[in-house]
Amino acid sequence: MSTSEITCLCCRSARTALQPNGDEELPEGVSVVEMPCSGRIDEVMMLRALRTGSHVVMVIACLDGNCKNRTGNYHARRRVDEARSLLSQLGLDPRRVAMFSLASNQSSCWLEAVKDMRELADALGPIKLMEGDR
Amino acid sequence: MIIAERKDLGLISKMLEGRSKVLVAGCRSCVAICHAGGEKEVAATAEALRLRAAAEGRHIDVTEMTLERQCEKEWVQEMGPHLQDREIVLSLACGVGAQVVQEMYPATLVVPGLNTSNMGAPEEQGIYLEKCAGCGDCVLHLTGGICPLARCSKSMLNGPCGGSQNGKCEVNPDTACAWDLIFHSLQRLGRLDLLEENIPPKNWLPSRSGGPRRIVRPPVVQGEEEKRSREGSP
Repeated sequence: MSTSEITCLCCRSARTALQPNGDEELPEGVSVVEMPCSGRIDEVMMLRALRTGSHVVMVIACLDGNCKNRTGNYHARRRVDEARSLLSQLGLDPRRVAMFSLASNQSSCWLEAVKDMRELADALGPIKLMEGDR
Repeated sequence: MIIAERKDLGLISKMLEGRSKVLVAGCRSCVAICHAGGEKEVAATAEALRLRAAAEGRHIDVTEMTLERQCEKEWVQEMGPHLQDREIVLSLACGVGAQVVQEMYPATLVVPGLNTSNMGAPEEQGIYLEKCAGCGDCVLHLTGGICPLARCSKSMLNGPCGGSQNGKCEVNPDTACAWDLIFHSLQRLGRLDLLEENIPPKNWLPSRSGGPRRIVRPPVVQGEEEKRSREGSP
């Protein structure tokens, strides 16, 4: 069984896709950090999640144009790009951070995304230097 | 404002090699506006350094602080207590700030985390354009408020050159031709007559010809006695 740690940094609106009834068990090895809006998620949170044991980080935001704060998900996307750039500069694989846009009724898409990210996490393992292109 | 960009983290890590107690010091002024060295960038850089150390399996103690301005000694004094056990300071200020910190704390090595680029202004969020070349002999009164030295790719004083096409520069089609901007600005101002004035070759003496420039404003320079009395010493 996989022991990969996956951290989901998630906006409150998209959270419903993860647990439609609010009490479903999350897939094993997945932890969720719920934020009021994905616009609050920054590169510090993503890097810290990796440093504290996560193999990969999923940033989950609303679909483009659907943010209740108008542009929070666009902010999140830029910060994911920045975090990936930082990872590359550090010699780490930038694929460790990924962004997913979900509507609250897209649970199956989320499970699919978790499956893909788990495969990646298993392949990459814990963070180590020089795994990226540099 | 001064525009700067963060150095590559690989290079920063190299500068910090062998040091385990690092202070990442930001500045809330210009470099915070251009998202290079403000509080958020300090936090991200510090976290990136911790992550790199974790990936290498070594311990690093990174602390963070952001000053109001790193280029003024009065503000830099606040850094003193934070430096006590630090081996090195990574300054996320412009080159001026990094030098002032080094000057005030000569016993601690200060390394630059940013590449300081130019004096400019934000065009829109995240996009900054050089506006001033700091030549020391301003001609904006003749050019409709647009600096031909900083904004013309060839720094022409009497333009445009033959490479100006549809308001764009031949050096880079994304760059507006400064002399096209100057023409339209003067037209709006009803001062096209200024274009008839031939701007003579520039006097570069007030620029870098005499080494580092030192500007003195006599009305605000304190005498020795005044300095002593302000500091409270007899």
